[in-house]
Amino acid sequence: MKYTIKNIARYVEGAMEEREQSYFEDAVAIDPALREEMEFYLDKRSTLRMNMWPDPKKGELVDTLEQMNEKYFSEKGGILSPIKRLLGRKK
Amino acid sequence: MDTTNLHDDQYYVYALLVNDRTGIEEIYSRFSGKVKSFIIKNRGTVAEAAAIFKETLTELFLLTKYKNLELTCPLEPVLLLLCQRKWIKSKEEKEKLFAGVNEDIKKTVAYIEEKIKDSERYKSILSTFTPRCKELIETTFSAGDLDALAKNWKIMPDYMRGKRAECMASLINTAELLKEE
Repeated sequence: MKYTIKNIARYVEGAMEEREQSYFEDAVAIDPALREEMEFYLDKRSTLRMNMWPDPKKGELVDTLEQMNEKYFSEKGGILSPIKRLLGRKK
Repeated sequence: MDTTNLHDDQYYVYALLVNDRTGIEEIYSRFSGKVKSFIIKNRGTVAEAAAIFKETLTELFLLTKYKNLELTCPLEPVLLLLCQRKWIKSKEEKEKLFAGVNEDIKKTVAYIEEKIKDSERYKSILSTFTPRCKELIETTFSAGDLDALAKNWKIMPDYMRGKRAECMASLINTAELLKEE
């Protein structure tokens, strides 16, 4: 049987019945092209997952990055900032 | 990507993954300066440089978490090129940034950019799908309760899994067809 992306999707998304699943797994074991298609499907699935829904860990990281941004990208920062401030005052 | 020879800078990528402040601070102290000067030299502001740096680090986090990004080259040129290419709008100028760059670094940057672009493309294609397809896929990826959704829609969970497979296959087919055009 020639498997398509629809069959792969049915397998990965848990929509196959037990017997169909077993036939499919046998086919994957012996068919490198099907294995490649399966990897392709899983790759696209994780691509879709990656940037689509809020990830609490991403939120925590963004908090850290914002704090670091304040420290390293501050307009007031830099070694010369005290001198610049003094010069600014003289004006 | 060839991940047989992991670079020591993979440490920084893991630091992003686990939100390790020490490692992240090191990324900032070592690499943020060059990004800042590049963007300022190219008519940007410090705030814009900060935003680009943060966005790029967040993308590296996502790629590490969902695509197992593994560095086989140093992080500095990768990070710098990603930020520079994000800032520069002209295609030609973007290409020029690759001049003289080591093949491994070029491949890594291209891989990261492609995956991010792909992810945005998939997101935009999904937005044109039926509300049911969207809800089904969103519930799946947000670890929501599919059985509860099936109950709400008054359909059997098995039928729902079949529908989800249909939506996913159709999304991937559409995305690949549009890519070829």
